[in-house]
Amino acid sequence: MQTPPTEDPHEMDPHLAGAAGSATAVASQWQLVAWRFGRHKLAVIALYVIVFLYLIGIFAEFLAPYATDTTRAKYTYAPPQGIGLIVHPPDGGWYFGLHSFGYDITVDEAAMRRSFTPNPDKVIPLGFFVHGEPYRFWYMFDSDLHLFGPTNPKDMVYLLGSDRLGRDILSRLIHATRISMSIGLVGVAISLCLGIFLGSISGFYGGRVDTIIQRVIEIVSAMPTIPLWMGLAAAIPLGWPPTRVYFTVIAIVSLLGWTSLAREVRGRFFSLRGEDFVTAARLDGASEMRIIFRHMLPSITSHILAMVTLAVPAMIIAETSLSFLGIGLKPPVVSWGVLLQDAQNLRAISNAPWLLLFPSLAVMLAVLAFNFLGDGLRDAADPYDA
Amino acid sequence: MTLDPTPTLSVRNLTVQFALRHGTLSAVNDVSFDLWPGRTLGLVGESGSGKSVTARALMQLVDPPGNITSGQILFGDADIAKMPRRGSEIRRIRGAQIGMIFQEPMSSLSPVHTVGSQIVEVLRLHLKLSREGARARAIELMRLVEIPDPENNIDRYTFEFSGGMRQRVMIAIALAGDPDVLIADEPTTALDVTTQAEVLDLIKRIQRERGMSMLLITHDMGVVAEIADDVAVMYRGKIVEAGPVDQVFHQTTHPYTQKLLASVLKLERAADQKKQDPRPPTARVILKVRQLGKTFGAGSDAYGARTTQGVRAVQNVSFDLLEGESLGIVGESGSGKTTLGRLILRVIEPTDGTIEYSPDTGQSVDIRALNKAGLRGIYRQIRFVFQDPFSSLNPRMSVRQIIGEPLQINGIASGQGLVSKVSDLLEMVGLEPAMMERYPHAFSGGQRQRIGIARALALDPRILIADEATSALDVSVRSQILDLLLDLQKRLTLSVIFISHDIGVVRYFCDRVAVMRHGEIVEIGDAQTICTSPTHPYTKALISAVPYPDPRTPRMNQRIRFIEPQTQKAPQ
Repeated sequence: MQTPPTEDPHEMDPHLAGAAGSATAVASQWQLVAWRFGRHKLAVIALYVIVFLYLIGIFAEFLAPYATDTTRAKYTYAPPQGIGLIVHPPDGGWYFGLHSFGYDITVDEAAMRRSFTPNPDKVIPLGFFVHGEPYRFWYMFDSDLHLFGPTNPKDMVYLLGSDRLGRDILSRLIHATRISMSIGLVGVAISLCLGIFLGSISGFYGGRVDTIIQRVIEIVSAMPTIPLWMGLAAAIPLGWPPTRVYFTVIAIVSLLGWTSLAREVRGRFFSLRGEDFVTAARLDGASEMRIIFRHMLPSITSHILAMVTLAVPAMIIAETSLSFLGIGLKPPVVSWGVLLQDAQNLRAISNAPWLLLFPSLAVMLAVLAFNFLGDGLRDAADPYDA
Repeated sequence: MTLDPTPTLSVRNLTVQFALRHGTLSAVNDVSFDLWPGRTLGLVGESGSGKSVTARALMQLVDPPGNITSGQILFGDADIAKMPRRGSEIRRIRGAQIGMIFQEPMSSLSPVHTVGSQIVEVLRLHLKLSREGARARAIELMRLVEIPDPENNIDRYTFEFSGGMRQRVMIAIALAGDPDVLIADEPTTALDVTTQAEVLDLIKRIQRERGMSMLLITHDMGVVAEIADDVAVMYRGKIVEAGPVDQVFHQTTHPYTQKLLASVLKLERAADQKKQDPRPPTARVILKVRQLGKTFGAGSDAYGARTTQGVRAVQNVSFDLLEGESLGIVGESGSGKTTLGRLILRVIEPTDGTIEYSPDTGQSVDIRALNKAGLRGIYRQIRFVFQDPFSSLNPRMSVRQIIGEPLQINGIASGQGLVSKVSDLLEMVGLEPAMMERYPHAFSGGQRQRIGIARALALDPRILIADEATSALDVSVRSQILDLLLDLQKRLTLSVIFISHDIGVVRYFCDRVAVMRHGEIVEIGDAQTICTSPTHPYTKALISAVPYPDPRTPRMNQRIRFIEPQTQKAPQ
């Protein structure tokens, strides 16, 4: 060749010059995104938290010591019990053993309440991988193995306290994680499909198509959502099981919730349409579908991922607040919102603050983790920005 | 001119470092120079050489992660290098004793304030003038920088001014504090060549009249030769050669400067290949463009009636492209040359005219009459090379995917055949086939442009349309890419339409040239004739405004100004 590539290396991007020829040179978009994301410490922690929450949701039956509907009338509003490591038996001496103390219950007839005092003589031995209440795991396997619980299945232990029917809050919280963390995803998935489809068409073709879709978006986003939810909740047949009711409602609400996503996708397509590499693809003879799916969408998938991550906490909050208001999920389904609904009265707050405290913490943890993760993803989404 | 024995500003062993993810980058490394009263120092270098960072360091304007790590900037009895970045000391110097002109006048001026208020602000801040006094002084300054009708223009906004006028406003602001030192960072790079000549004239005149010291930062050896008294050549953060302008240009010592000057001078004449091998006089016409036109935004109301006139970006353009020749299209920004390139492939849909393509085999076709499928056939024969090698390659695809894309779409090759075809193409444009798994971010600008050329050649085209294909590249890389194109053109008997604002590039590369202005071709003819003895007054003005990279033959003094015909006076 007459012209060997003798360009000076200093001409290269200084940030990459040192790395050219090494891993960076052959790194694909996702590797670059992952590297950039890895530098975002808070987001990485948030990612672990979210994975942890979903693991809890997936293995809820195994992790929870009890089922959601195991009631003990004796133990209404029992406060959280502590865990001890060293047992001092009444006959002197000591030994190692995970344990809690059982409660002595006194009933105050006038105030209509029970008071609980731990009795050091009633040692309840605890253990890992204990046999307890039987359950059916993922509708497939029958088991009675629990990660943690009293070694004697007849004993009751309330690590996070109990509610008005003597149900274990810890178990209910673990089961609620499954419902609350997954139900938002369904709504987001529906919004996502609609948003990407309409947003990309609107942004790619522009002109009249764009005008029509944008006007539709404006009309849809002008609808007040809360009254609509309440109306829909009232219109749904009473005979339906509660989960189906909720899925219906969330589906209808996400039919209204796709608009912001569609706008964002449209904006991205608008700016991408003018990029030279898209014109180049057109001049390569690529069809419109190929341009959209092979050249344009990959450029914004990481942005979409970030948008979705930021949309999930909104759905979680929506579920929580609607269930709290009594128009979302209803018992016997357990979600964080349903748990909070139990904490709605003054008596619960004054006598059993754990009813309010633990579900709220769970909601905050999940929402914050999703927001941090979304922020981190959004910053890492475009690794080709300087 | 008598030399004042003390320099206004001297830089000693200045080092500026940037803390990066992996290690530190010394953008400026042990740089020393002096600015003398009444003299201009030209600081030249290619992109990434650290010249702009040097200029910013003089005003303590280097932003983190950058840092002045050692050295002195002696100005009067003060050392600017020691001043804190946000202190009051440096703020008293900025804009008052040292003025700065930036490259991009649109982004350096505020769009929401009138130009007057931006000049007045500096005056009131540094000279503590009264409101009325500052306004009067601002009008005076605007008159000084030759802005017409300053009494009225002072209350206008930036967007009402053309690029050249905006740069004049920037100069007025830089002069407002009556500085001893003027730093001009690529002051004319964003401007058209005729405007550049006007602005350079103005800067030079003001600097002489006021006896200021000036630091002129530029990548353009021509501008340096025309304006500077002394030159310092920067390369990878270091000054490799410095001295009076004549000495640097004519008794060059450093190999880098020699190489730089050689590649600049190379583009001052036609390529050697052209002289040895003149194009056959009777070549066949491969592309015939007649009365091509594009009107943007000719609106119609809801009933289809025409409501607005629209902008005529291209009008009445006719030319023939011969087989194996390269036709240059030159013009200033807004002349419609880029639109013309895109009209031919209907990337932008033309509104008038015909484009007739005659392949060596088969029927002539009118590109304007084709449907989508027919147009895809044309896309295989006529290919496009883009201006910006950064945005024209999809950063999410590897080089193999980018070059293989047209082959795959058109069903020419796939699997192992695709890989071997792509490595052939990479070799053809002078790149290692082993690089094909890399992504575009691992390549330099010149290498990316080679990838773009390989993609264009993948389909064995007959015609190549290169839209400013070399203007984003440094001068040394530019001539390499042009040589590559020349070589490929000869080997593959390609016809090339080469669109450029750069007369030098066109003269080097093209057989024939068409000069465009306001959407029309004003002159078309043999490249050498157009570049040496043009006939149209606009072409004359255009050619004479190009700075010549030799301080012994300054060209701008004999510049011809093109006076707009009174009938279509363009607003300033």
